[in-house]
Amino acid sequence: MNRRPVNDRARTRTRTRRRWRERGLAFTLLLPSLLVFGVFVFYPFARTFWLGFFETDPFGGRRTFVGLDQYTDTLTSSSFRNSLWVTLKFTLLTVPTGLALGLGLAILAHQKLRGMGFYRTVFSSTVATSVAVASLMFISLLSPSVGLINQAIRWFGGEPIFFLQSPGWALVAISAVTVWQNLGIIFIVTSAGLQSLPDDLYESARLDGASAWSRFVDITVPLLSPTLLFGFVVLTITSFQTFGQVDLLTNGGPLEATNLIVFSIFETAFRDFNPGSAAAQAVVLFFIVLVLTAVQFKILERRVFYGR
Amino acid sequence: MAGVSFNGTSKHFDDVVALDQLDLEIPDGEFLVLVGPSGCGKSTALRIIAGLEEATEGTLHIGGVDVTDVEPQHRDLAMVFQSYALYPHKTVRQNIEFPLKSRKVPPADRRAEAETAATMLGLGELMDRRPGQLSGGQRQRVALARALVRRPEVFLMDEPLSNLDAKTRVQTRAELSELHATLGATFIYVTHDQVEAMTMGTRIAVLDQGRLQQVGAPDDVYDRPANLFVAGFIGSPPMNIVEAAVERIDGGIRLAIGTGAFDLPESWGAAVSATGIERVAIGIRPEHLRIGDGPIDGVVRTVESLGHERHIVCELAGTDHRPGDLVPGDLVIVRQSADDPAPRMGEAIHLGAEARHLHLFDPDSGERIDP
Amino acid sequence: MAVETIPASAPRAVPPTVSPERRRRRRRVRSFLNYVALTIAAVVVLTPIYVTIAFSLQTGPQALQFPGSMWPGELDLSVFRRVFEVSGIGRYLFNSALVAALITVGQVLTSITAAYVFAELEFKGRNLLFVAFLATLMVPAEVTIVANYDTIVSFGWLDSYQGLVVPFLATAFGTFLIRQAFMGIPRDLRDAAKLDGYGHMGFLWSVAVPLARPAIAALSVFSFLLAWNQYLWPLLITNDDDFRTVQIGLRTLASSNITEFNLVFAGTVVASIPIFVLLIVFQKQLVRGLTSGAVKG
Ligand SMILES: Nc1ncnc2c1ncn2[C@@H]1O[C@H](COP(=O)(O)OP(=O)(O)O)[C@@H](O)[C@H]1O
Ligand SMILES: [Mg+2]
Repeated sequence: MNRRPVNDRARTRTRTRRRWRERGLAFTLLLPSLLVFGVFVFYPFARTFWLGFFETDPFGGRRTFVGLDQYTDTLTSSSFRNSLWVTLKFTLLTVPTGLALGLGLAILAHQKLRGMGFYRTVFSSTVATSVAVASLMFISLLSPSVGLINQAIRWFGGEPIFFLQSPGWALVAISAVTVWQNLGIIFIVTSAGLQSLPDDLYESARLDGASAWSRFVDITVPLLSPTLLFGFVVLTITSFQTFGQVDLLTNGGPLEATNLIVFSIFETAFRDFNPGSAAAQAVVLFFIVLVLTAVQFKILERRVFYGR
Repeated sequence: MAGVSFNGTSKHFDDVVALDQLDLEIPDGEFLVLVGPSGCGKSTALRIIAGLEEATEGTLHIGGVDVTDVEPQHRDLAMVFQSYALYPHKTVRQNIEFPLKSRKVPPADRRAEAETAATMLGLGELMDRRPGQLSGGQRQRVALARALVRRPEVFLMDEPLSNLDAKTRVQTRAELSELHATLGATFIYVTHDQVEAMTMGTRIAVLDQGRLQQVGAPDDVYDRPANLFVAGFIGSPPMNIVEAAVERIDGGIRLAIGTGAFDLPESWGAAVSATGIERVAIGIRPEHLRIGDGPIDGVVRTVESLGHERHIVCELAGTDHRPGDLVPGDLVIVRQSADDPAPRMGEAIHLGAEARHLHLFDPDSGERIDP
Repeated sequence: MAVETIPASAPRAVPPTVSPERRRRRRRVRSFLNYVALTIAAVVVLTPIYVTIAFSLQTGPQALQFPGSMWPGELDLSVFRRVFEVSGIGRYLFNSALVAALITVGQVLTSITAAYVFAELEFKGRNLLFVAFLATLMVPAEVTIVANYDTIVSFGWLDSYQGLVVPFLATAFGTFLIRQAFMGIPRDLRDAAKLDGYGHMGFLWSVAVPLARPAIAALSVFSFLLAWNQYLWPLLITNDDDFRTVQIGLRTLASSNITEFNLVFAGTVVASIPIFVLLIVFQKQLVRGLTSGAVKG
């Protein structure tokens, strides 16, 4: 055998060089993403915390360091508390309703009937609407003058309702737009969830004599629960990020009845010119979303990120 | 010239030693078969030749040049994978041309080369199909054509036949041997199937647990297995291995098996004495055991007829290790021609074998003992 | 129900049977009820869309003639021409299409390259970078608008395409989606490509990307939709009509034409048509993109 002495030094050198080349390639390929994330996610994220320590004089625009005072001020201010409360109500109004309606449509459409493709397309159709389109479409229903609902009320002899202008109705109206706009995506996701359920379970349940209702409660709901839970968390996060409907339809009013948290941040920063207070509110929003995202990751674990 | 040689080559995956200090010289133009049970390190050895794994220790030479740290694309070799590894989104033609494209061969030449390779393997009709539309055998040919098209000096094949049905496998076996003869290139072929190894290789190398057990021509390995592992691995049905106590007798030694014994001449006695062991493992191939007169007593347990031959499983008398079991004693298989009279189940018989057909091994180290 | 009498001599009870006739009738009634429910649901879902279209075709007084207003009389499509004339909706649509297309192409490219790193390359620090990508999912854009606005101002990117596009050129979601697809490619293909003479880039573009096409298509549709629908960011950083996207254009249209409802609704219809068309064409890809996180993996 011609075993030759191994030139370990040379080998280590080639291998180290190869490893560095590979690392260089990795870095080059990641660079665009890292740059964007660095400049538009991580830097502003840190800066938002920082900005929260400064109070801005609304007239001179001078900034003074006030430490945690602004966080405590913001958190205790009645306006911000109202925002949190309104956002929570909004979540409660939109998330369960949206999920229930979307699931209902999905179950309705989960049958082998002729023409089902048409119904599916109709039920999915609202994914195509942006928040602006959905909001303006709802003006066609809610407007006090031309709005279809008020026309109908008038035709029956009633008094028109000022949906977007009355403190009692405004949040409900905003919620209705939101539920409708979300319906398409919820329908698509729950439908896919239903379709992924194994048929043989249903067949054996039928052989066991289970009724349609017990098949729904004992099979569909438990098997679909990861999908529903996921939808629940995602919708909750989205509801905390809602802005457009409010901006287009109610401007946060009346009497701050629809002053959702993101709208409040926007107004504080860009209408009241108080970036410090807006940043403090944004930090609170971040922690809320963080908790919700942590829950979402728990659900997704082993499914999207680590699943192979 | 493209012989391949491993020089003390090892591969560790964390704690797992996949290949342990392999020394192996594969001359140019040889058809070497690497054979061994699943997980013994065959693929790892092949992938080190290909440059797909880095050796942890030792070196690898191709054509006399140290290529241990040369990138795969600069090694002038081609590989056929067990899964065929065809690009599913490319047509057969594009698959075959793909290696030429990276080497900047002009399109016209590429086409011509691909046609030649495809014609050699009878793929002419299938050039515009995609792998998904081909049978297993056809895919295998495309993989071969893609390897051929570059005219490499070394062909590596990792269990290329294991996904084929039995008939196609036998046919392809012959074609591969023919291809080797035509091309004159070095073929290194990995399989866990010892029948493939015996029928195809000019030499076979048996691996177990990352260690080379024996290299040699198929007949040599079959006739003189170097240790118990090779003895049990090569041959089907496998070699019978029975442990026996060693007694010295006049003019030789006596190996007691149950109620019987083999007497061997002094030439053996010296060899066994030299090792200083008191028990030996005796190996006898099924075709070398005779039913009729012989020194060993046994009882027929089952008789399996394969048509042209018969496998008879016998239990050796007096070897009951665990009394109470359904079959408490040592079993041996006897291979018999279908023309011989068949024994009945439960029949008491005598077994014998010629001394030159006995293989002796040290039962602890597994090493072969020669007279 | 007919009363069945079982003869005393019957060897064992016969399970109740339903005549095929009755079973067929029962099934027909059931499917009729299903269709009724489906149709009612469809009408409810479509109402806002239908009313918007109906109102867009009516002048002020007509629109107030309930229930007559629900059935457009003479089809007069001139309002759609007018909406292009009185508002900059043509320009808005162009801006939205351009911005969404740039974001889509950018996100697909950065996701492909980053996904390749996380799927195929091994080096120290990879896990840390992976965690950094994950972390971006925890920071909603709404949290950072204040600081990002300052950045855009300091870059001089207010009222510019850069401002609308660059902040969205990377996506962790897209990276994970494509990484998943890359990880599904058998190792043997990677090895075969190496022996065939391809390095990382050759393998990426001529094998991995073509094989990940379904995931890439899903990401493209998803990114485009998201970019097209953006609201808060373009509202924040554009004032100039030349750079406004269609969502913000609709806002302008609605606030400046309070009395001409049909014009606002016509604008709404015009603004939604491109996306409706797109989604009908790419429905399959969209569904894949939307469900990749929620169902299975
Ligand atoms: N990439 C790897 N990482 C860790 N262990 C590996 C890897 N590849 C192979 N091994 C281990 O090395 C040993 C030899 O594997 P392999 O060469 O594939 O065996 P064979 O091809 O003979 O079946 C096995 O124990 C296997 O588990
Ligand atoms: Mg293997």
